[in-house]
Amino acid sequence: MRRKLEDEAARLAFGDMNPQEAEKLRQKVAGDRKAEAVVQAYADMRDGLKSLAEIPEDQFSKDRLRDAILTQGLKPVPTRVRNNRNWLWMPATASAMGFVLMFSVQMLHRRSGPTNIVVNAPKGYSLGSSILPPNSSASGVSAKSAGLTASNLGHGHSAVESSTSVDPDEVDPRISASNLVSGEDDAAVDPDLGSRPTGPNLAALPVTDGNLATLTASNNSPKPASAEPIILIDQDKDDQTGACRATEVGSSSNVLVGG
Amino acid sequence: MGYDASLSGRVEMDTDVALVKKARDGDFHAFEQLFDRHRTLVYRFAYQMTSRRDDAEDVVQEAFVRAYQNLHRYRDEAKFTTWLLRIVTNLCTDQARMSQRRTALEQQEAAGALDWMTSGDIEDPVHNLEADRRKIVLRKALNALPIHHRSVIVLRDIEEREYPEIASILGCTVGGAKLRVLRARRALRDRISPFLGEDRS
Repeated sequence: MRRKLEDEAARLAFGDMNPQEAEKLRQKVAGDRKAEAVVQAYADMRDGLKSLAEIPEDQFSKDRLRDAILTQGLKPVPTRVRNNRNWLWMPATASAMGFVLMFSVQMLHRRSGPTNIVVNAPKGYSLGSSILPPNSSASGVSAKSAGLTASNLGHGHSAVESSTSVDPDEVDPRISASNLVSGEDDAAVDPDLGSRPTGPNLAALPVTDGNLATLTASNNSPKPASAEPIILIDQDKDDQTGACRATEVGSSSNVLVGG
Repeated sequence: MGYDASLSGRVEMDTDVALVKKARDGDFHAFEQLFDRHRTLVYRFAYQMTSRRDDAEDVVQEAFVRAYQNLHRYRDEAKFTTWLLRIVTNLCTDQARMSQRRTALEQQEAAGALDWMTSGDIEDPVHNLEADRRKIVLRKALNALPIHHRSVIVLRDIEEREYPEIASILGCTVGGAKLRVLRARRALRDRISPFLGEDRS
């Protein structure tokens, strides 16, 4: 007997055919004793399987289940919030973190920008006044050279030394120096000033005294004067090097801070 | 009183999904209700798969323990019973693998019993004895089937589950479930036909 016909006989015997198919197959197997025997065998098997549905009663108790679950201290695993879009959190969080990181690095970079101090600049000349924030105060530090203007105080005096090597012809009449003051705790600002010049908020100020330079600060956190030297760069050129002359002030006691 | 009756009625009408949610929140009584509802179903299937009451009860216990521990994995879109029967099917498959040696012995025993029953040495004067004999033959042959054939025969032809549900339990398509049932029936008939006097030629 062909396998296909046998499968159809099984479907017929187990009632898996629709009435049209069943009738068609019955007509097909009618008169074929072998085919009819196969259909009958599957029908007997179906009846026998149905008789197997009778099973003995179980003696399983709820207490047994409770013991199995509770005495073992088992608990259902807490339901997690499952969402098909959960994976979106990962790139979104990564992007946000990247953005915050970039922003922080940028801000840090701005804060550690160079400090420029101009000595002997023309009176009333202002460096970078265009970028001065509206709320910047006009207080300053007086140095011994007239016309000192400062902005972006930040780091140690090594940068000041490097700035002295600049060709004086290319340098603005205001002599620039960077990083006049090292670190936050080293602000060479009189504590009475009540502020410490930092970053771009520092305004250029005209010199008010012949021996003192004026530094401008917009930061309003008062810092005590440090013992580290302050280097002031003068507009006058050194005879030997041709570079601008630098003067190191031993301490902030030589620096008068005032408006 | 009337309030209590309506309340209890409402509790009785709790769907499986609602009970599952309560059980997830730590309400063990809700899980016991689920157990009461479906223990017979699980036991019947387990018994048909194992043919031993004690084994079937072990399977029932393990199935409900696993269900309790994995309630968070249950998806509301599927019927709870379907999910439960899938667990039982997997458990029975695992058990069949572990007790392969025992099964082999049982098969030998079944074959011996079939030979003994079909040798014609014993006459069956009473008709119900013949029915019992056929039943035993069928049971033995069913137990001797590979687990994947046995599970679909039990689901479809003994427990009379619909094909879509069988497909859900087995994790296949409806067409795949039909095909599996067809093959399993063929395999079962191949096993019983020699003992029932059929000519397979």
